[in-house]
Amino acid sequence: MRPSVSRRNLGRPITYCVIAAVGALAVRNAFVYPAIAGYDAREALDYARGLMDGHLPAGTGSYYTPPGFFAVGGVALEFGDWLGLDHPERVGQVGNALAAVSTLVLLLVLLRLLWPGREILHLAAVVFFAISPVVFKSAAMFHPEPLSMLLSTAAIVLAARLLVRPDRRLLVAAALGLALGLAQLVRAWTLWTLAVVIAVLCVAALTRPRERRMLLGAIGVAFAVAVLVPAPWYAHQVIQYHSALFGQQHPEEPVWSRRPLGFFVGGGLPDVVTHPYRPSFSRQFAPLAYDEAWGDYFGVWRWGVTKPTPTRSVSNQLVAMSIVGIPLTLLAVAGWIALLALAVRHPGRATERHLVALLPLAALAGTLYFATSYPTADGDTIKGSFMLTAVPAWAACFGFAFDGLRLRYRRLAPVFFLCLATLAVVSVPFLFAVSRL
Amino acid sequence: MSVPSASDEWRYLRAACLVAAAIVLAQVGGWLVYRSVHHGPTPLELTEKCLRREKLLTIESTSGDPIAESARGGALATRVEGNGVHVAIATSDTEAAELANEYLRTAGRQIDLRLDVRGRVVYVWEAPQRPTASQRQTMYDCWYE
Repeated sequence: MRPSVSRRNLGRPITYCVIAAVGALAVRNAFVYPAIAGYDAREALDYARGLMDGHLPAGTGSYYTPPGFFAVGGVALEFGDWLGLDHPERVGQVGNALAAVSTLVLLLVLLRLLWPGREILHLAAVVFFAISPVVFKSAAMFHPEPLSMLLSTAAIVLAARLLVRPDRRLLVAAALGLALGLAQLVRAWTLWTLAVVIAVLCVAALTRPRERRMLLGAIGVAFAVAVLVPAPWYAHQVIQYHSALFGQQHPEEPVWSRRPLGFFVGGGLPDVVTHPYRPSFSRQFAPLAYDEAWGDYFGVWRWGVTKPTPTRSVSNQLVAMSIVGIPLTLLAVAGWIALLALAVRHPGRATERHLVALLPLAALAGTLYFATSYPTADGDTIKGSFMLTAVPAWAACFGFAFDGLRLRYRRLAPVFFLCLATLAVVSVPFLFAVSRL
Repeated sequence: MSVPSASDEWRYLRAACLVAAAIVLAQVGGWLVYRSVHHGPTPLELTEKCLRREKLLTIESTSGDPIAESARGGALATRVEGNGVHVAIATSDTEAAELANEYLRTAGRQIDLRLDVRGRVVYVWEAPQRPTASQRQTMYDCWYE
């Protein structure tokens, strides 16, 4: 008698199909999306061109952003010129698309390390990542965020590998330090990945007496490499601008009084669903971050930054995406809170999972601090892409919650799958880039 | 190295689902309470205050413009860099579209260049050509709905 194909076995091929579809769509978008419409596109292209001419921006444009991506992007521009492309920046955009799909592959590797054998958890997490507009938007642009997400995820995978498998720890630690160092050379946001990785490794060293010596050695190696690799860049910034990270002027008043209470607790109801685009709730953190992540708040994907409001059909698409994001976000938040609570209550159990629990917390805290420190009337300092490095962790949290519910309510499993499939189908049209905004 | 059991995981996940639901309820409840007790300035008052205080413009009535007068959120008139503008504030997107249609129906296609709808606010400019970017931006800076 032939064994029947179980749902668990079916999860793996579907996961691979989703990854392949993401790759195809991301590369297609890179060839369609006008690079100049992306976030800070002019500054990014100028930076990359300038770097190829041998100079960094001098106090203008994105001078505070490390040069890692722009070095790669500059080579891509040169290659595009050499190929005779009308838009040589397409090569850099394709590079970003490949970075996004590589991150998805790394996410799968991470999930297999943290939850081996739970194919449905893996599938749900991969689907969450695959239908996140913030990923597709960034992946189509000429922007550093996808590369920083790739390097940050690589670091999380290596840290998990270090905790799960005892072999070749020093070598893995060196690779981990290199990934963390290179990530800082692309985007300063990845400093929170460094903080999370070191914190979790320290927790493991404290709670695993037998492995403590080896783990402390690994922490030392990883930290040293992670500090040494970006050190020249930080030194240059301190010498030039007296600040290693973001040498911009900010208001004189203390950080906690730069934003009103409504900024932190406002939910933007009902506009967060009915009018999910600027300038609605531009002075509230959560709804702006939400609609920028699940839709196109600023008008860089479906409508235009020069247009006052989207057309009715685009507005309907944005409203649909805002609704699609609600169950996905709530389940991801539930999974995150559960993992965070498990990490607090049982720090010594499955320490590697703390990486996934702590990354969204660090990303939220970092973005909130930045948005509070540098308040702008239009909400420009709350771009969804600022938290892109945390998307793989949010996806894992979603997968954890989805699989938990499925295991608990097995009879309702078909309903859960149907809901997830419906949400994915509704989202897909929005993930296709358009050539004119 | 131990891993939480499925029942352990479920205990935490169930509590987390309740926390997430509580956050949603608090947001919706807070919004409903706020909406029922808060009687802050209307979009018309905010627009008027902004144009007077921040743009130092003079506010007039829209008498003689029955379409603007019919806007449920109120209407006002002002002059930006020599170009007069009527501002009609609707209370819904549908009403704003109806107001714009009414202008088009009454004045015909020649009003096309002078008519601008932003969310629930309808602007009708006096000069026959399209308003300049600076004139439009001045009004957008005081846009409330």
